[in-house]
Amino acid sequence: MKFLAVVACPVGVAHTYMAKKALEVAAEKLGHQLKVEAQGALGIENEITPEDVKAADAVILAVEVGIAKSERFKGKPVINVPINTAIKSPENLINKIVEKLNQ
Amino acid sequence: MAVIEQRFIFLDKDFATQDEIFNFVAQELKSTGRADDAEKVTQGFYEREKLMSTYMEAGVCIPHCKSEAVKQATVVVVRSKTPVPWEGEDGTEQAKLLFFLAIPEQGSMAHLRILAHLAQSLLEEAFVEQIKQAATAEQAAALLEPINGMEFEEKEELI
Repeated sequence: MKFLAVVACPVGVAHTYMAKKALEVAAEKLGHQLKVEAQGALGIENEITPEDVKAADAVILAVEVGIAKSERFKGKPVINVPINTAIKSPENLINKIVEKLNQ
Repeated sequence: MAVIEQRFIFLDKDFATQDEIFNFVAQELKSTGRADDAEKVTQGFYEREKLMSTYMEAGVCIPHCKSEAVKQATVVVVRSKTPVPWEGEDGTEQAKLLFFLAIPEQGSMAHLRILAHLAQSLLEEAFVEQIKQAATAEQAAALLEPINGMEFEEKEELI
């Protein structure tokens, strides 16, 4: 499947980038496509485009703070999770979403 | 002045409480000129912890503080001889290996990138295990200091 994710944490230095890496590694392992946009202290990195949104099956928001441009995902299944879920059990998270979407 | 330096790696010191360890790290930052106000740094650690516990798993914690009192981005590594009680998401945990990130309000992008890389490398269990097992601060530094060189671009092979 094709997923998008936005990650953001309070200070935007540590957890944001841990979540980005954890989700990317898990998606690759499980054979899914995933683009992760980080909204952290380094600004918006790997920004999700309208084309990305169009092609995506679902959007994961692993954010602990208000994020910029969340209106982009209108009409798509959006899954909100604590950022620690993305860091600690990314594979489980992705599998659960896949299961839900397949129902 | 690098973000990660051996002189900020403290192995097997004895701490009983979160307060003791916060104060110790804040004092180290102050006495080396990396911060100009230890109290503000301690307060910064507390405030961040209140928003969301920085306890990860297996005894690893990444407390951080972004404050105007911090003058240069610095990582302070503390391996506590005795586990320090730490409020995690699921109750009280035991912190044993702590990576403190001191972050200036106006930090350089390069330094922030180094901190982000360090955080990402802590996802790698084998890497963390090596630091847990390091016999000396020198050994731990040999593992961590290469991250100082990762300031310019994403190094995808890190993990």
